Amino acid sequence: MALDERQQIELINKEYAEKYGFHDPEKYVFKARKGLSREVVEEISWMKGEPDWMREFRLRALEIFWKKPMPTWGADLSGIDFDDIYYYIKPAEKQARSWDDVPEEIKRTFDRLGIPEAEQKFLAGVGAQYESEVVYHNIKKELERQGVIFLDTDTALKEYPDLFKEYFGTVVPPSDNKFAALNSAVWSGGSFIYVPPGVRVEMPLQAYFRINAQNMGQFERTLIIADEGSYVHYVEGCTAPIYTTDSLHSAVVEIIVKKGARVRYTTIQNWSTNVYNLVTKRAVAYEDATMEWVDGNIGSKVTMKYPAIYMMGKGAHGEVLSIAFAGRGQHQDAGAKAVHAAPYTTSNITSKSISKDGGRAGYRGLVQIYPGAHHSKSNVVCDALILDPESRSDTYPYIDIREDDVSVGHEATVSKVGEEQLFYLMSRGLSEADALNMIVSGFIEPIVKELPMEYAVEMNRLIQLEMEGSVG
Amino acid sequence: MHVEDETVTEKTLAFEALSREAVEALSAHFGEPDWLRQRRLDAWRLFLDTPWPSNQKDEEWRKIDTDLLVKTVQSLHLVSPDSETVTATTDLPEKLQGILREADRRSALLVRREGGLVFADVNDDLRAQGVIVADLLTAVREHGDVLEPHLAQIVRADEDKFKALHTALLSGGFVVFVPKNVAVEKPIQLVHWLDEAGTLVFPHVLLIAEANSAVTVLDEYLSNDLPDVAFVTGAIEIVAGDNAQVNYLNVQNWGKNVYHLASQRARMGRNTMVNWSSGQLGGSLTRFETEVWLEGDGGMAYLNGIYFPTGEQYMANHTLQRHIATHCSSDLLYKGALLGNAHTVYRGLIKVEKGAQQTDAYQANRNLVLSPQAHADSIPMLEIEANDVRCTHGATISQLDEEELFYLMARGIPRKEATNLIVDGFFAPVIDRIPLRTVRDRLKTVIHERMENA
Repeated sequence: MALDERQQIELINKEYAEKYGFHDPEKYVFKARKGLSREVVEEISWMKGEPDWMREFRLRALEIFWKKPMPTWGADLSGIDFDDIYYYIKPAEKQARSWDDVPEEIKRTFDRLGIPEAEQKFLAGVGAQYESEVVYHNIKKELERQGVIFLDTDTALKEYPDLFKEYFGTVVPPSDNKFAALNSAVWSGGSFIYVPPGVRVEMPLQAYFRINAQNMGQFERTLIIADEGSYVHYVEGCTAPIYTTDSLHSAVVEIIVKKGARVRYTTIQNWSTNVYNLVTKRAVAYEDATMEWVDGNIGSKVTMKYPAIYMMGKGAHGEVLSIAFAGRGQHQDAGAKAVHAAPYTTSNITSKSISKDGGRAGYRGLVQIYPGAHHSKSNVVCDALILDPESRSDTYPYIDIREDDVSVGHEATVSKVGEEQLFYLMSRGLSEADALNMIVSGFIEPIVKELPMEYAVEMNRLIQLEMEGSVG
Repeated sequence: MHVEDETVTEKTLAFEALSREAVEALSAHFGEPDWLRQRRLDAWRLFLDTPWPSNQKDEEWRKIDTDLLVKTVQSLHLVSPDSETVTATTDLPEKLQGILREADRRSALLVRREGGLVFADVNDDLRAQGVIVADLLTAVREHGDVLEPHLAQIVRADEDKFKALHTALLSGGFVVFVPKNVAVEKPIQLVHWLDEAGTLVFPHVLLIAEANSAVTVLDEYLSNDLPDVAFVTGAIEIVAGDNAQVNYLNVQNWGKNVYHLASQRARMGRNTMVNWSSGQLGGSLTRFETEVWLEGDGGMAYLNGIYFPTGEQYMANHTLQRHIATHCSSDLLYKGALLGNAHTVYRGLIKVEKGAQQTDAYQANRNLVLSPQAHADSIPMLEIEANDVRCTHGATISQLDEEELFYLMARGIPRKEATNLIVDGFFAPVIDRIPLRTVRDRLKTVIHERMENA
């Protein structure tokens, strides 16, 4: 076989890496090959020691992924090269229990996020996902006492196989869309939460996760089950350092909100601006249940994410609050989906977007009312702020009604920062930059005030950073 | 050869409806100049090269049964390109008699039946002003220089397969040309009448209003209920020059079994005003694309739409307010009520292009669902690429408000009458924006009829 010089060098390097573990500054026990094949998927499943049904599930999903065409709507996804991605990386670090065991690099990253160590420790049940697998997981005793299960998804599959199998893949089947199929084939990590009937989890559960290796995709899978009458608030925040080549983040989040339960899921997404963030988030809400998505999109190159609520039981309520910020080179195609499949269901969608420096922010939503979902109500309000002539804002709200006794409304406004508002503030001694900052902060305030305090602070700081240099 | 086959052959004019031979035969039949013949042939080439729209793949066709459209188009024959001229108005169909009596309220009336012009009554003073109101393919021969720059250039064959087919098989229509600085005081009325089922019809209207002109055109599409499907693929092209004032009113009140796909677009100059009213009432399946392109600074467009389907009717309205120049405003209000098993789709876009600063655009779609089996879709969209703008849109889908009904009934008004009042009140804001009283009255009458039969 004829190999050219470059291929030979690669081969030698590969052998060195395998034999001696050098030429490999990243500390991995296992590094899957780039690209996707049945073998890669089988290897992931084997590495994780998964049951047969999960291996079958992954392989079936892979077939669906191959069959489905790329979406032709939404953002430009032509930059994704599925052959140039690692689909699984297992970190050398084992599951850490105490703060001391958490690797220095990760602590440094937390510091750069601006959250002091003390506060990190204080926050209950921080599950930090590093390199596709949770390495730090500290569940407060209180949660254990209440019977709440809060694990990374891989561990949950091992420890609670029956509970897991009952719900996994029921809200977002692999056939839902191409990226849900991809996630189903190669998923790794994510959070698993089960809240028993009547239990209220008072403090928000949080997990930080990050992308840390070049060309490495993250495919975490989160499954939350809130049993009857329970309450939980899950907070997901992510930041990523800048790399030179594009990364793919394609997560799936499934939430089951049973009768009378309430779940709030908060996300602040601040991926570096070379990440494709293509996420399927969906919740089903049963009788009198409430599901709330609070979704902030600040980072990434491209985000396509439309948190969905399927209201399946009488009196269910859904709420989506969404902020998108699109700066240079960014396209935030965010939105929401509310499906009313039962009578007396209500939903509220509030979307705010800001675009500047040529960024493109959009709202894409669907409100669907099924036959029989009488007395349903839905209201959608979208506001967009465009800060300069190069930027763009889009609104695509779909409304699909198959029942007569309902009320659905949609409103959207796109505008610039008012000269009069600026003048008012500047005449009171504020600089133009401060005035602009204040107006933008006020614009997103209805959503920021819904965030947990430390996130609200972080959010405001992020917006301020993004707004730097936008005047003059 | 069977006798049956001969009949078929005769009907299809000795060639297949969708064929190059048909395109060439039509062009020869009308004795067209080379430029139009070439446009038809180019369009035919595009038709062959373009795939049919699919509700699986094409977002804009997602809510319509595209398989049915394609199957229907392929199964019908071309409408015959001629009709015998009628001299006495009494020879025209019953449904037109009411319209004909309004003679003193207009400056011209042209009636087409199937493929050809059957009636024309144009006031002499229009001719004296240099206004052309004529059958399209006759005007092509006589006023080619006026038509050539615009015909099939505003709604273009390369946009989709149906537009390509329309251009290739264009079966006639009307042209209205108003020269510079001329104001036509009374409305010009155009009527498209159809009574042959099983046909493909490709009507076209070209309205050219030169700089500083003013004109009001009422364009109506009428038929009785047909025993079988007739498929209309139409286009409206409006060119409105600088400072022109154009009122264009479009009323579609086909009978049963008429399918109608319409591509309608106005291109506007500096400080131009276009007021576009659209009433969609009849037909089995209708899909109207209505677009205003604001290409000159300071333009102003109003779009007023009413739709009221019942039974098994499907009605789609696709609108585009395309802001290309600065200091333009556009204001769209589309209101629809639904009865029976009707299905409506409203899909509207405000597009503000780069540099179209100082744009003020508004878009509202309101739906009143009066039957549990009816189904309304509403997709109001914004794409904004300029920052110094004010763009607002809103959409609602709701049913009769029981509290409003109760309020009226508590004052002694029977339920049915109270319902009618509420429906009248629902449509009033958009009917008030329609500039012709005859059209306002006609729409009100149809609304009342619909409510009576509900």
